[in-house]
Amino acid sequence: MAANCVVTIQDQNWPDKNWQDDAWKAAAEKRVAGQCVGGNSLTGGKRLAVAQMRRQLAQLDRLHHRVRMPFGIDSLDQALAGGLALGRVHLLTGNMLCHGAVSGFAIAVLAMLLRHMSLSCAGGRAGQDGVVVWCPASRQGATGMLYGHGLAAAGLDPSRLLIVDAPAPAHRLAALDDILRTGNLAAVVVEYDGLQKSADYWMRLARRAQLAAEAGNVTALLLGAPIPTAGFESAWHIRPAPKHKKPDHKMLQQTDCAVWDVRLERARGGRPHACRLGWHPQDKLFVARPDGVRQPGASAGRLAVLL
Amino acid sequence: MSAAGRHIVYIQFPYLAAARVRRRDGDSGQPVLITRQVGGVDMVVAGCARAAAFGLAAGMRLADARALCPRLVTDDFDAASDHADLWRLALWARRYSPLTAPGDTGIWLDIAGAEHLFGGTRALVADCLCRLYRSGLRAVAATAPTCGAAWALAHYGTGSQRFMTAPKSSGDSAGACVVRRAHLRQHLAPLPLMALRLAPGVAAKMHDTGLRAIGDIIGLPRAPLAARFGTDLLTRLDQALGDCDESFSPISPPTPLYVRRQFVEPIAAPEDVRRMVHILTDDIAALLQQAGLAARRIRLGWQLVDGLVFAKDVHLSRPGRDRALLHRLMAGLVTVIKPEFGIECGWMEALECSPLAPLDDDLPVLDGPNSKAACDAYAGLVDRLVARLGYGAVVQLAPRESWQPETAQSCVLPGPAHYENRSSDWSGWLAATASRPAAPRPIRLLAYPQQIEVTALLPDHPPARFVWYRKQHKILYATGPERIAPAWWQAPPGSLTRDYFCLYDQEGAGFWVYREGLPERDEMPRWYLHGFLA
Repeated sequence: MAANCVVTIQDQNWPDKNWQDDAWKAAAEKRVAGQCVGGNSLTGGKRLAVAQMRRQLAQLDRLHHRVRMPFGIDSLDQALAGGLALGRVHLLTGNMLCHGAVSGFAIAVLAMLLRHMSLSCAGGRAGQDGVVVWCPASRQGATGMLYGHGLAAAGLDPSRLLIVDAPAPAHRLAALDDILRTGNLAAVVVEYDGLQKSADYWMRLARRAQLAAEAGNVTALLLGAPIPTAGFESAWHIRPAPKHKKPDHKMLQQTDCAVWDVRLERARGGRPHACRLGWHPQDKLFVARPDGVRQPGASAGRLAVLL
Repeated sequence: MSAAGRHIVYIQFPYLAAARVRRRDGDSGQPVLITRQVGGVDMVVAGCARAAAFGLAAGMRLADARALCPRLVTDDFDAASDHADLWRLALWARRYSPLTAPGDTGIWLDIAGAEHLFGGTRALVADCLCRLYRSGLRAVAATAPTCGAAWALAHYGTGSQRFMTAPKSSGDSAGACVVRRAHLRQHLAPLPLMALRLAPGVAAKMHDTGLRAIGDIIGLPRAPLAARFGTDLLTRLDQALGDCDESFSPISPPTPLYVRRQFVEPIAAPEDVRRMVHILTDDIAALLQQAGLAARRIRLGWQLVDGLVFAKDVHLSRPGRDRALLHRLMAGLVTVIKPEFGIECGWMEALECSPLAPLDDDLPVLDGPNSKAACDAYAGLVDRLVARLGYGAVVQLAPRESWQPETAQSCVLPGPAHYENRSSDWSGWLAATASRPAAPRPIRLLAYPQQIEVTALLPDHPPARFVWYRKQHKILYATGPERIAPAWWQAPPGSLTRDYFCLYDQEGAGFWVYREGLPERDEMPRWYLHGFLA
């Protein structure tokens, strides 16, 4: 009952609109300003009621039990209520014909996750040396196989990967439950390509995967084309950030670090958010980027810019 | 069995190691020599028939052998492989007699009481040699009532005392005689003393004193002989003459790890099929437990009433015999079995077995990611995924030393070592990329590069736009080229040099494309998409 109520209020305040929609951007900015400065978007009584319902919801949902991994970018971490919830199922979507962006963001998150686990698990907890199980799309398809040299350059050790090469997305999703319940894994990544199913199917899948991930205490990422986001702990839409520079063909130079336009569409206990993120593979660190080109003096994790 | 009842055949293989080398590397038509290093010098230990025709013999130096015949194939002496070959030959020879064993240069057979099944001793030995000849093995055999005499005649016998390899099986093989006990002394007397299986030093010492043949010592007083040359000489002489018993321990064939259930009535109901698999799994687990072995592959077979036979393998990532694990894996197979009109019988076979000590269950269980429980859970996951998705579906990425992007990575199956020690093959690559800016590599690589239509300003410029999957990509940003030439020593003829570019289109998506063929060499350049950048 309480959950329904909060969702309704959120929907009213958050016109769930298109990415390019200026009105939506303006609303987002206003909302963030209201949150940060304690502004007047809601009257006092309503705000109290919302805060109380959030607390109730958090208790119902055992939100305070969650271990979270901060991204190191204040605005994003606030939107995520402290960071990426570990031991949950997250959805990363994007255009399947420029698949590199979604895979690249997933690799960055995994690299950060492995680093976070090795730092925070001094007591020899499970997952410290765990394996990442990745069920990629068929290697014969248009997405290709994961390439170890590229993964190493992006900061993820390929020897930590166990690749489950099942051609059919339905087979991969069917195996998901079994994989998640294994325990002692660092993370699980499953790609479902552009599988067409009803909203009901995805919601049930999300719920089932969520329970399995909690049982196995493992973080799961689902990669693919946009699907209904209900039931997932968080849902992200990833697009590569455009680069503007003249072609420079005579010089072999290192490409700039990868930059993505990340839209957090849904986060349980948090709120939607959008930002531009860059990834430093050497330091395994996300940085907020105002634009796509190289910024020599940019300090890590301080320049969050809302589009 | 008393010594009197024995009928020993010794089959010697003079060219066994050379035959193995030929089988392994293919016949090059050149003499094969087996060598061994003795004090820094390569000595010839064995050879083949062709080498013997050149006058190359055991005991020569390899340098001398090369002087006689410059074109030689050589291989290192390998006692373990020799013994393994002889063991397999002894196992094969059980078709003639249940008592067989591998010796030092050949195999022993005790054919007493079995000759008549093959039409007599001569026919038996001729049949055996003929079969060996057809499989490419030259053999020399001798029969005698004692082990020592058979060995001596097989190695040093002359003319009719030995059976030589014959291409055709004939009843009376070149007049070879079967040595009877009464004529044993007469046959052995002219043979050299080395025929008594003596240590080389002893034979040389006796040679110096003028004792050359076995006949020279048969009549001599025993006590002075023993005092001067050791008791071993007399033991060997007595063994050869049958005055002292000698036996070999016959090999026992390995028990096949195989269980089978035959049904009175054909079964077809799903619960019956499930029960059949359950019972067979129980049986094979018990059999493995009893034998102290663990299997990496288990084959389930079944036969339908119309005589059709089916089989399906289950792969284990680590050798295992755990009953619960096998039940879990086999449960997935039940759905594969289509009984149609009924199953006559089912069987299960354990393959790729290795010894597994039963002790590690009792050790204290450590907590943590490298504990046994964690390894077991992980290995169990791999097994279940392989059973569900098929062999080869679960892989790991491994680096390879290659500049060609598509061959610089291979997919390997996670082996048993993977669970205990996940040492990184990639550590070298990771260190290299951390220290210096490497050339960009895609995070996803297409299995086959896909040809794309491009528009470039100049032939050696990166493309300004390209079309892939009927979508036009306008390039806003490009880096490159990185030139990768084909490995001329192994690439197929016609491989062209590639120039790799990183392209970023109007949406920011990164593509790794290459141009094949150099414009300055007037090769018609073609463009391919090979991967995706982050």
